[in-house]
Amino acid sequence: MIEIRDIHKRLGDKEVLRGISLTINEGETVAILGRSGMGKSVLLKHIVGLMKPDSGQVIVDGVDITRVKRKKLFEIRRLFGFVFQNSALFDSFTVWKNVALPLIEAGYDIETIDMRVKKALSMVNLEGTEDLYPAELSGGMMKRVGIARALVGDPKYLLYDEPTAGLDPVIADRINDQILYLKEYLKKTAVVVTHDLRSALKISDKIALLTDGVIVTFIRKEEIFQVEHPEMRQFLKASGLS
Amino acid sequence: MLDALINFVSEVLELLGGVSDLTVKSIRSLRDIKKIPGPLLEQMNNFGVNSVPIVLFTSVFTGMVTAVQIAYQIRDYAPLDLLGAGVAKMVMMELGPVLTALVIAGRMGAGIAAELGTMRVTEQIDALECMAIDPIRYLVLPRILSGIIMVPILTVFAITVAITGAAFVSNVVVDLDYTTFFQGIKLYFVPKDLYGGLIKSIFFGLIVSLMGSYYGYYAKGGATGVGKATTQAVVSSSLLILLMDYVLGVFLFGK
Repeated sequence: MIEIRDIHKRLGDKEVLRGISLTINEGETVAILGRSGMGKSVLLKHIVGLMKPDSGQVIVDGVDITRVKRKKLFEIRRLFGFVFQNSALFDSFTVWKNVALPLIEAGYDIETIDMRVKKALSMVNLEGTEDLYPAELSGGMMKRVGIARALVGDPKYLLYDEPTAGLDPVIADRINDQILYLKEYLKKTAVVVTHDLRSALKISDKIALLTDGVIVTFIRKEEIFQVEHPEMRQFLKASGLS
Repeated sequence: MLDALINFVSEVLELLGGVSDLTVKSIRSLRDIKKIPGPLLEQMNNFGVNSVPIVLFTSVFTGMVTAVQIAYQIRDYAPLDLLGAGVAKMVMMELGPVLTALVIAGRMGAGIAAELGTMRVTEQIDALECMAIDPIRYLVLPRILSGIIMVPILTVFAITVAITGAAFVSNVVVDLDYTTFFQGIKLYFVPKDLYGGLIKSIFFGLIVSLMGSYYGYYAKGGATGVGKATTQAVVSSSLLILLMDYVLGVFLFGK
């Protein structure tokens, strides 16, 4: 379980997170919805300890990761798979090495690594791309390699940062299907940061709306049409859902 | 005026603090040295093997022009037999280490800053963190170690090439035969000249790789930030090489 308790974060002159509290139960997929620049990615980076809050706690499986030493933090991070907004693939590595890197560094033998890399790539329908470089991939393929890399270590939690941003609607929908398939097939706990309400409705169990550094509503997705908050109404309207 | 001074002092202190912090973290990451050989060999290849052509070009011409100019200066009041010794001392103590380091600062210092800077702004360094891979150990330490190892090796190569180029020019232009040229080197050779130059090159290798790593690792602000980091890495490395050259020169050869 991931518990975020009253975290505050200031970047420069702006207080990006202003007392965020959120609980993500095991097996759930929670979408954090919000407009650009509202602090969604900052919040996601706090969950994996890439950023430290000015105050507040982030508790992962009972451990407050804001207070642990680096070695323990690395142990906790092995519970996570993180899919970056721009994939963050290593340009000089092939797809195989990009996906294999966490396993190589963890000291697995080459047969195990190869087997797990191929399995992870097959889960995202990218068999046969092992020898390609990131520059040879389309945007959607890069996202899927990013997902395969996040999956290869068999993490307990999956974090997605804007998984459909910058993709055309068809490819974006395929990525959503992929995430949904992984959710149903692997039963992992996931947090998805997105500004795409349709995507959030498709892949998540719960939706948290983040506005100006505050979570203004946190509901099951079925309850979304009952939310009266003007920001949510705007999202529904802009998505053609009201 | 006061504001500018305060800004300058705070920037210098920030730089010193940041570089010291990176150095301490790199030393700490030596604990995982078992995992370093792969990335280290890759960086030694980048740093060393791929820099051979430019070092070759620079040092051969340095050696040749040094021979011509020393011959011009000593012609009227010293025997030309001293030419080999003069060139060798000049190249071993000063020109070999400094010019190699400056060339490497332009090539690899900039390369390290640009590569790490791009990795920073495209979240590749964050991705390493998320995979529980220490980016300092994986990215910075191999670059620093390869700088410390490869710059002295390249300096030895540069010294050898420069002296060979000087011998050739001495023979062709100054009309001094090879035997006399190399006998002059042998006669006046002092080991301290060579190892003094190599000690300098170890420090220069550290400066180039550390400054490139520092500016790249902490780059921010997209492509503009990467460009700025690259420029700062080359400028600061070059200035520090010249400063360190003086300090080490006094320390090694001052008495």
